Amino acid sequence: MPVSDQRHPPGLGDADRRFIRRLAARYAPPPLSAARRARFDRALEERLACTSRRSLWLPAGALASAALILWLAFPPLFAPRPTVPENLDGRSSAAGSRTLQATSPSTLLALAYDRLESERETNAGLPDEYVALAEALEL
Amino acid sequence: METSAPALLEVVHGTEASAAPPTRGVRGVRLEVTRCAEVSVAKEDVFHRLVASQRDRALRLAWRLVDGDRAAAEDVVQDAFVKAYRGLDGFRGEAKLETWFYRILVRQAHTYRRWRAIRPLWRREWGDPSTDSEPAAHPEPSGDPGLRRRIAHALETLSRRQREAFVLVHLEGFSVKECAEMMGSPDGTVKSHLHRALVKLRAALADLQD
Repeated sequence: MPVSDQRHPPGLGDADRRFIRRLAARYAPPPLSAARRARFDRALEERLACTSRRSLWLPAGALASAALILWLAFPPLFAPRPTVPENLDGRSSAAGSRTLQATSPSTLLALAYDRLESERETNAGLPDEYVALAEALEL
Repeated sequence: METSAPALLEVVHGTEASAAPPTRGVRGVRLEVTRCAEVSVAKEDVFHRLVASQRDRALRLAWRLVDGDRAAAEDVVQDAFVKAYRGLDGFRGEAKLETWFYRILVRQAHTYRRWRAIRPLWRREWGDPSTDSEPAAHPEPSGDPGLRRRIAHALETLSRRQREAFVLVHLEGFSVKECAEMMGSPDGTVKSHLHRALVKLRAALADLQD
């Protein structure tokens, strides 16, 4: 590239100008060929297209990350809500809630023990022979 | 977008866009929508004109700033163009568009040089086998490669600011004022960098003198 002498700051001597001109001439890249220029333009277009695609993906990724963080931080918010059978008056029945609660084995065991306990309480006031007879008849 | 619209339109249409009085009401809103669409088209137009007009000069400048590595220069210029495209919305017309772009380019070249300086340390520390080999040297079709290497080495001995000022003003032909805008320094500081750089280079490259 020809270096314009007017552009140099004032105060440069002739020797300085000649030195700079020689240096500029010897330290210059080879001229850009048409093929290389076209390759450069193509690569730039690809990078710009890639940038545009990334700019679309970024908000989606951020949204997904936010949802994941929320899900990890507050799992109850995302747990499925049980459908409670309701009575005609709109209140949930005790039987319904018990059926729902009886989904885990521990709850089932607890219900079984409850039943045994209540049977024992019912038979508490009866004579021993009667109780033995009642159990034998049940079997 | 609002702040950048007049600047972009000014680049495309001259000073007419920024000279238009502000409008109010429904008609004003409609005009604003039209203006935004026009700005979007203007952005593409401005960018492509910038690439077409500055590509060659940018490549030459980058080549000189990254010590004659052609592939690195192309990477640096592409990075600078991508950054300019992304940042074009924020361009407020406080400087000339070209000056604003070259400012990005000079900074990008500096980032590349810094990365290149720490790359051997990184490899030694982490031993990345994929990047173990040096990039292939690009054959230069003409000139004296030995002298070119010596000039590159001499430029490398300058401080960052001295090197940038010297390349921008003396080798690329930007004015001191433009160079000062690109480097974000006062004119006087740039002149001082230029003087010191010239003294050092004349001492290092005595055979280039009369």
